[in-house]
Amino acid sequence: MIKLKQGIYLHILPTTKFKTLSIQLKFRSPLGADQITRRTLLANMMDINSKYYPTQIDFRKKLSELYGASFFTDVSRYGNYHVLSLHMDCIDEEIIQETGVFEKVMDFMRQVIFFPNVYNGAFHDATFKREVEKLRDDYLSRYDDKALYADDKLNTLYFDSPEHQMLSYGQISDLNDVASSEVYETYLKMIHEDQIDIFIVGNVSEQEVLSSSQAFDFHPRDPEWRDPFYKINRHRELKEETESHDINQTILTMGFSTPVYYQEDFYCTGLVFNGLFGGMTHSKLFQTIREEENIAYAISSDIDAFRGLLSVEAGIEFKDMEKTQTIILQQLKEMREGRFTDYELFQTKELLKSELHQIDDSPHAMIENRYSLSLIGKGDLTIKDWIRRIDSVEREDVSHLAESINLEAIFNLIGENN
Amino acid sequence: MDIKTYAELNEVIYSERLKNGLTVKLVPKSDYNSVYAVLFTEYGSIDHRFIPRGEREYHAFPYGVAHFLEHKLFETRKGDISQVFSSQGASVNAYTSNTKTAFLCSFTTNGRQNIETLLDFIQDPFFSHQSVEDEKSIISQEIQMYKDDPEWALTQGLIENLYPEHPVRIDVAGTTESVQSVTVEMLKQNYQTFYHPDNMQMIIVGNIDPAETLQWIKDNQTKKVFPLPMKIERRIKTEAKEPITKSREVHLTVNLAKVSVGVKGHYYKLNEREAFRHVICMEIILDLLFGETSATYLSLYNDNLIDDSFSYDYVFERGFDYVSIGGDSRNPEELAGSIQNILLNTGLNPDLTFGHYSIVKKKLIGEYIQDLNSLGYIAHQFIDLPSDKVSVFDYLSVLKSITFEELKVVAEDYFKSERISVFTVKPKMD
Repeated sequence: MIKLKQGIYLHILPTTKFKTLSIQLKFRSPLGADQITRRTLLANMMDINSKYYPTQIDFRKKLSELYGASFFTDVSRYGNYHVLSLHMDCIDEEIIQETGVFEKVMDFMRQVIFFPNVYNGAFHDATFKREVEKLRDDYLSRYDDKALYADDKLNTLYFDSPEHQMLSYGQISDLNDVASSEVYETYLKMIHEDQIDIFIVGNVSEQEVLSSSQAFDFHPRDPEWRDPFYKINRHRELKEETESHDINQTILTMGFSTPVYYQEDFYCTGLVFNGLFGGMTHSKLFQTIREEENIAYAISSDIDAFRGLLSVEAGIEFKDMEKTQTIILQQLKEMREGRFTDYELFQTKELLKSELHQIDDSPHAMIENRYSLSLIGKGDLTIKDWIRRIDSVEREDVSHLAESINLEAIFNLIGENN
Repeated sequence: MDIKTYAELNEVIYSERLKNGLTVKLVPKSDYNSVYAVLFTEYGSIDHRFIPRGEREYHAFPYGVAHFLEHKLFETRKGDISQVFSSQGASVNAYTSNTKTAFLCSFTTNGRQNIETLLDFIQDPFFSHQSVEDEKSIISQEIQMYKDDPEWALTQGLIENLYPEHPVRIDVAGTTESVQSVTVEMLKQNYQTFYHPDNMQMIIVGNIDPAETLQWIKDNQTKKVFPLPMKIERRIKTEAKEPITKSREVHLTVNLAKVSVGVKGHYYKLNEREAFRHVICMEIILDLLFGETSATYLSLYNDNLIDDSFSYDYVFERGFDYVSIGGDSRNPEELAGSIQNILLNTGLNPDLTFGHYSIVKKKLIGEYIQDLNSLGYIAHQFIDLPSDKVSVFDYLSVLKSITFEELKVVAEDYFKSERISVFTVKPKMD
């Protein structure tokens, strides 16, 4: 990692294995309820056009001319941080036998960042209005995908504060009175105050990168630091909610609080726990609910390691709802009692290690991994270290961890047609 | 072993057809950590009427047997095979499409063991009555899950419009009723007919030594005894004279309406290189007409008729081909009208110019090269290609050789009013 200026960091991941150059710029700010939707609108606006490429046709034609480079933006929530990312991939110049591709791509990034489609302190009005409606459609369509909808409801039920309850990309009610000038303010705030991390993966030299990234005229800044992890003393009364829709399947979701946080003490144990409990096909939930009881096709668990949330989701028939809940809790009890085999523990570790080895086979996984580590100040942790930690997880660690996992929220989406 | 080198892309394919008929294709990528291995059969949901091995008459099987079989193969004499794979650091998955069934596994260690496990579990099936009965409720849940998905409803609804007779109109998993009648005997008959090595291919992409890997596969295969290969006789209802349903809608519990405009093709009879070239032509045409650099896209966007869900696709499979275009819309009727208008007036379309064609070509080349970073993508292309005679690495040279004039001819011929259908999903009123 190279510190370009105060608050601005460059990460070069040199490799010759890919046929591409991948570039990402990540703008990190504290997670703020009033900013999430605006940052999403901003990200979407930066993905559509810019001052000198004022329509999609101009914007996308420019990318096509850059040897078919791809460009997109997105936002995500890492615990108490909100991150807006610009992603760009282009072909490595050796393949097309050209030179200067990297500079041209960086120049496009520069255009997007410093020359948004802004006039008199507000985004281009028609684009803005259209993007507000598009984002509205996006929120509305969450309801149409019932598995996503159930997930969203569980998230709202589990958390207590709006910045964690809403989607990582905001909420529909914010769209009613949002002004184009406010999104421009959000833009200025982002450009001047956010921590910026620039990632480059591919066959480039440090010298080449350094000279091109000088083109990014960012000022030094002192970004606001937060504990990235959402940690609140939980253990409160169980929250439960049920809704019914005119659909066939019933979806059961459960949220458990855990002390599992990315790369902290219980992290590797948490990965092993999740694999054994519901994250893999040899897991207890998959084996009992699907293979023994035959009551679900989809049953799985997942951990959000920046917020300590373990979630379980199952698609079942309404008549099996209580039975499924009972089995899930019974399996958690068995995890606490250490009722899993050494063989299952071994399988879980083997799969986790294989997943870690695969990170270096994708430029995007490499960036994601490095960024997550840098968010918690452990940028120097290697895959090897990580694998060693997985190997050292003992069965007692897993059952001990399971003791501190608590059911906090249940959301049931009932299919009325069955 | 055949060795084909693609210098421009710095890729090599090693291939051989083994004595038992199994086709093996290996793509070494020595700087990657992972290996992606696939074993697939030319057999999917539409193959439900055929002469079973050892018999003389056609049998019609209930819908969903191919998918059922895919599920059941995971249960072996050693128990659930995914358990064996996980102990070897591999994850395994499978899917059934209309025309193929594929089993895939990926790993970073235990190469030989994992490749042999993949071959062994597919080639030594074990079906018990109890487990077949148990599977019925799992598959029913899977079918229910798809039924609740409006995107699936949109795709399936359009296919039903376009294909009133052809079995592609039935979900790959079958129906909740049809799977009830599946028996062990049926699974065996289907297995014996379609899982012969002669009807299968093994593709391995990643960190492998091709000579060594091929030897592993040969050693494994020579230990096994297979019946003689035979020509598989399928009988699939033809579509030639069936009229399509022009327009239909359903009401579901959704917030947003969705619409899909489809065009039923008649190019599926093309074979080998011609088919491959045609598929790429269609990809360019759709991008020219509806891609992000088209005037159509910009005007649909400005008129608030589309959002980011807008997409277009060309499906080309054994026995059928069609185009679908659409997405969520505030005004599905108007969107469907605009799309049809574009399709039926390609001759006058301002997006069909040589300049735009050059831009789209550049874009497609860029996207293609980016996709080649993924071992999974490369392996999947081998499954999806319309012919065994071309490979994923031929795409670049064929794409480059397609002329603008050629595209105009195909576009003019493909989009005919009597072949176009519209399917709409609308919000249910309470």
